[in-house]
Amino acid sequence: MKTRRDSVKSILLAMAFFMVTACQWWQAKPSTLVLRFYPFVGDSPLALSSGLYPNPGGEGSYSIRDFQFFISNLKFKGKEAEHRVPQSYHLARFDNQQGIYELAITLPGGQEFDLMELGIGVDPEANGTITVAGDLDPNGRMAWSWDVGYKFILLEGRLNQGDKLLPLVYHVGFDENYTTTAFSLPGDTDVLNLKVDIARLFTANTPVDLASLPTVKFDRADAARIGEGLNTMLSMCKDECAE
Amino acid sequence: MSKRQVVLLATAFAAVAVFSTLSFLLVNTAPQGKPLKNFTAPFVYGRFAIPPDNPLTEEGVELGRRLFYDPRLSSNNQVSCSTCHQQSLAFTDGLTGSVGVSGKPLAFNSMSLANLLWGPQFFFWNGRSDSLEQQALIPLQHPDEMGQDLDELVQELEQDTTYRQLFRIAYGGISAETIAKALASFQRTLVSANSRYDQFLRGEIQLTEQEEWGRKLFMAHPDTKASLRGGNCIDCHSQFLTSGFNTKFDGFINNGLDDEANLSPGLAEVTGNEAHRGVFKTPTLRNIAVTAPYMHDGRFQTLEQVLKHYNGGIKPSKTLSPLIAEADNLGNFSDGKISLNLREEEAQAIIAFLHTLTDETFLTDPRFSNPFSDKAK
Ligand code: HEC
Ligand code: HEC
Repeated sequence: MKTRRDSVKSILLAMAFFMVTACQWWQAKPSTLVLRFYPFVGDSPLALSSGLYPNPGGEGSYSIRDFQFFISNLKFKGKEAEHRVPQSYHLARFDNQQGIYELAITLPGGQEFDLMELGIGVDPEANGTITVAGDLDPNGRMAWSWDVGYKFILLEGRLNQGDKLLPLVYHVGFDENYTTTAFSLPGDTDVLNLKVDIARLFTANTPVDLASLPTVKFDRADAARIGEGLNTMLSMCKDECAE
Repeated sequence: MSKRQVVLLATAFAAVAVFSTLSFLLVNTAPQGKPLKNFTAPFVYGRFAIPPDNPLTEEGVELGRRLFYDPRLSSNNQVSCSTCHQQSLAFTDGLTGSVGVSGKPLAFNSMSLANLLWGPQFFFWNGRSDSLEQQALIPLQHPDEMGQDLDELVQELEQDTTYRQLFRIAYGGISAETIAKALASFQRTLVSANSRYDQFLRGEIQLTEQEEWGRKLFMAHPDTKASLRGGNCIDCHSQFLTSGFNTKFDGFINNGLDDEANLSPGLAEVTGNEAHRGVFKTPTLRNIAVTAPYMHDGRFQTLEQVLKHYNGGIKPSKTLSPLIAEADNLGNFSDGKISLNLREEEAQAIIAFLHTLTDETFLTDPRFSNPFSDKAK
């Protein structure tokens, strides 16, 4: 026979069971980290098409009509944990309302990470195949033909020198220009603001005169000259990204 | 926990499970027809998306095919979609400007309907339509195309037993919305993937020397510094699909047909953005040898004329693609005259490559043909 005490006991037991599972679920609940990339040319925020920026190594000023680049292989590291974002190929582009690129990353719960690693460009392995992963698309604008691989950076615009207009095309790829970089993560944050400084592409060494190097595509030395700027193109935002 | 309690909990979970299955079934009782079998697409075409509220079904596609070929869809019962989109011409019509019920030629050249699942997901030359469902109702009602009143059309189709049955199974009934869904479904199945270029990609055949030369030129942006000659076609026509790029409006470009003073609005009509004047959809080049005349207004009659355009005929304007402006095999693009400066044999090689994009299987596939003609049954 079932007594009243028995049923109270079973209700309590059931409640305890649910609380324990709920707590476990809460602890392991994945968190979201939002990466916001704010594009700049030096100290000026990027204004696609309309902004004019000084030619780093020569006369005149230039405008940027399109700018996109690949971020890949996001990896988060902590004392005990390491998390690789799956299919991590992200095409950063800025032709949207806010003019920034936003990327939401899901991180496993119950673990602490203090370092974020990422690649700029496409790692040699993926660059040499036609796999469809993340934003990699062999029929997309960032693809060259399959034997050449992907453009890591696409920058197209125009140099104005008096009444002379010169088209600018920088399509920078090639395995040797794949660059990895790392940022330490401030504790307990769910948004990370990063500055993308496009001017770094032209000022890594001697400032480039865009008139003498208006296009970069398949010449490996030229590509490397622009590619050198990739490792300082990204930095943690200080005040400049204020919303 | 006692055995009994375990049993209780287990039944509770089981009940939840049964309930959710039941509610799932209830929600999903809207008629849908059988999922389409044998729908395949080449790996190299990449991802595609079919709207969740209009899955590909056997009945939906069959229905769409009937509607596509049925002249009763026009006001004078003489014009169907297939009037301007003929299978043997890769679903174009061979005219400079298409002609519908009014007999008045349209300002635009008919577009091929091959591989609509890929490439820009904005339709028409100026991208004014953002889904095939929405697109389908536009020519239906356009006074110069099919001039059809939609309410009348629904009534007309209700009189036809075959349509009534097919619509009931596929969508539960006839409406402008379900007519559009069926047309969109049929068009999504129009996959062209058996040209000689595809057979080459699959490693089944080799291209001739001239075709292979043309392929290489097509796939390369000229770079005099790297001693690379190229036709730069791949800057806009993607390597496998040969259509424009699919993200956002990346596939919409000004390829230099008109100078500043004569630019048509193009994409600017849709976005209101000045920088989009003279910008049009980059079309697929699959089956291009059978889809003359060329460009949005059908201004070129032959592929030779198209190559002449890219090779010396480019008209400068503020919105001209920089990729065209600086593509020059002689490396002297700063002198003001825009040209690829390809040699005649190189232009011929590119044309030879363009001919490898003709897909006889696609042009004669019985699944895409007129279901009302005797041959098709
Ligand atoms: C009178 C000739 C005519 C008829 C009839 C016609 N079309 Fe078209 N179609 C055209 C022309 C011309 C264009 C390009 C028009 C433009 O861009 O304004 C076009 C464009 C399209 C496109 C866009 C393709 C792309 O890549 O963006 C689709 C899809 C299409 N038609 C489907 C249909 C369907 C479905 C029907 C029947 C309901 C139909 N058409 C009837 C002439 C016609
Ligand atoms: C900068 C981008 C761009 C480049 C480079 C380019 N095209 Fe195009 N192509 C377009 C656009 C955009 C159109 C449609 C233009 C219009 O009708 O307004 C087009 C149209 C065409 C057409 C006509 C298609 C039709 O259905 O009417 C052919 C053929 C063609 N291109 C071949 C080529 C070849 C061959 C090359 C290389 C020599 C090439 N294109 C390079 C963007 C480009």
